[in-house]
Amino acid sequence: MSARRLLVAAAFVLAVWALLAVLLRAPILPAPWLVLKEFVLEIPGNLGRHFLASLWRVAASMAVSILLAVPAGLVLGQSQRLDRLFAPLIYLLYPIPKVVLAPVVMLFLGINDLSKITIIFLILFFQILVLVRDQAAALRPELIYSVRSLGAGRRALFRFVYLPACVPAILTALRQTIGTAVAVLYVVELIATQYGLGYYIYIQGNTLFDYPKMYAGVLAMSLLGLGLYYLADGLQKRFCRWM
Amino acid sequence: MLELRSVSFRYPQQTPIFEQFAWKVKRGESWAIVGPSGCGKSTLLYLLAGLKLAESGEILVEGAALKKPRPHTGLVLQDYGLLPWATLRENVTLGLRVHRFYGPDGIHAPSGKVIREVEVQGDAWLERLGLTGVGGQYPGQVSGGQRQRAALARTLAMEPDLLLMDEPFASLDAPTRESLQKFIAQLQAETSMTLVIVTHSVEEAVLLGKKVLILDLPPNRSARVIDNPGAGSSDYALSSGYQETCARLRQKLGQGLIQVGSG
Repeated sequence: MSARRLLVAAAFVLAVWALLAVLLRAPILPAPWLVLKEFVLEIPGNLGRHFLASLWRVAASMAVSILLAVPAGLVLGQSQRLDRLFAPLIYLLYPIPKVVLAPVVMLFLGINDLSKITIIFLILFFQILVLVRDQAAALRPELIYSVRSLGAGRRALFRFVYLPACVPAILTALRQTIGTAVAVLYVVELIATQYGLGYYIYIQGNTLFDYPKMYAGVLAMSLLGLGLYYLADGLQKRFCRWM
Repeated sequence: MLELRSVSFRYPQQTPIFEQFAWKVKRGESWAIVGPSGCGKSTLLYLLAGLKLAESGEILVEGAALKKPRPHTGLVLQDYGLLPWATLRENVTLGLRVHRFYGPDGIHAPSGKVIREVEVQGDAWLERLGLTGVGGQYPGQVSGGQRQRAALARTLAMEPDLLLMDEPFASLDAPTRESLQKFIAQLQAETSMTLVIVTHSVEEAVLLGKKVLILDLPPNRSARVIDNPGAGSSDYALSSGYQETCARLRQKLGQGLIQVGSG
């Protein structure tokens, strides 16, 4: 997507918003310029801190998911026996909406960053695991044979075949799950925390009734999701030019 | 160069493909292997490459028992051998990079050979195979012939003394196939490389193999061989000897099938 077309789309959204705000004249829908003003004023201070707290939770979940799901996916994709063993388990767990496990995870891990990161991790982990596993299983035996015939053992196969082969799967999984991850982030940040965009939005909207600030929080959260999505998209363009 | 001593091999729950099979290849010979689908042509090649291991018996390469792929054996497959995410240049230098990755350890890479100037070597091989302009392209962006040239360049860059090919030209159009067949014949004549090519085409077998090994539907117990000394010379395809050998090979292939069919 070109930057110009995105700007046009953003301008359109802002125009509809401004029109609705002017027509409704209600405090619960402040005009975009009021919200943008709050955003610019708040982001270097309070809102920025909440933004960083949220960013840290998503980034940490992503990093841990990739570190654990990629090797597991590669092993399952390469070993039919292990895959047969684990496939029913994954089949069972994969479709469960992980967000409903939030209270359980919090009971076990406590009310802290670890439990929040764990819940987002559970969502990302299965998505990456399944995509990487399928990608690794789809590698043709001819390809492995011909690279082995060049002298590649296990380490070189990993470096030259398996790892580059699963990069698209990782990035696709990230792109597909970032929306869900940020949504779940909002939910878990509603529960017993002092930091995070979810908390910020909730407090501003439901306790302080400062609607421009609440919308500034919504904007920050949207930008967080959008930024991560474009990061994954950009990495895919950079590293998967062959596709 | 190559010796199979009473080699047996089978895939799980299937008829054995080879039973006490013996076969010898001398250094510098060019062999073609033909036979019906499922006769074990490709399996034999994988055995020779050290990618599959015999159930019993021994495969000797240069007098040493083969337990894993050896650095000086090159393998070219029909398709899917190139890394789809790497450019042709990266693919051509893959073997060199794998060797550099391990260093000259004598197991994965030849000992005592330090890999230098991978890029320069890669470009030289791209040029030799007529791929200079497309080195930066990905396999999915070039023609089947260019892909197969790249696969050849990658293998030849390893300076193999034994080149194994599994239906390397089967999916190419006729002119491309003929030019690559010529290239292989020339290369084999210039170097002392031993060549083993698996093919389902009688013409290709007779064109490239000074000896032709005929396999039948499994189990294969003995090597049936046709001598074809004219192969590899430039205008062999136009000679009457070529036509006769093709006819003889066709007849032998038919016999094998009928025997198996009626028995």
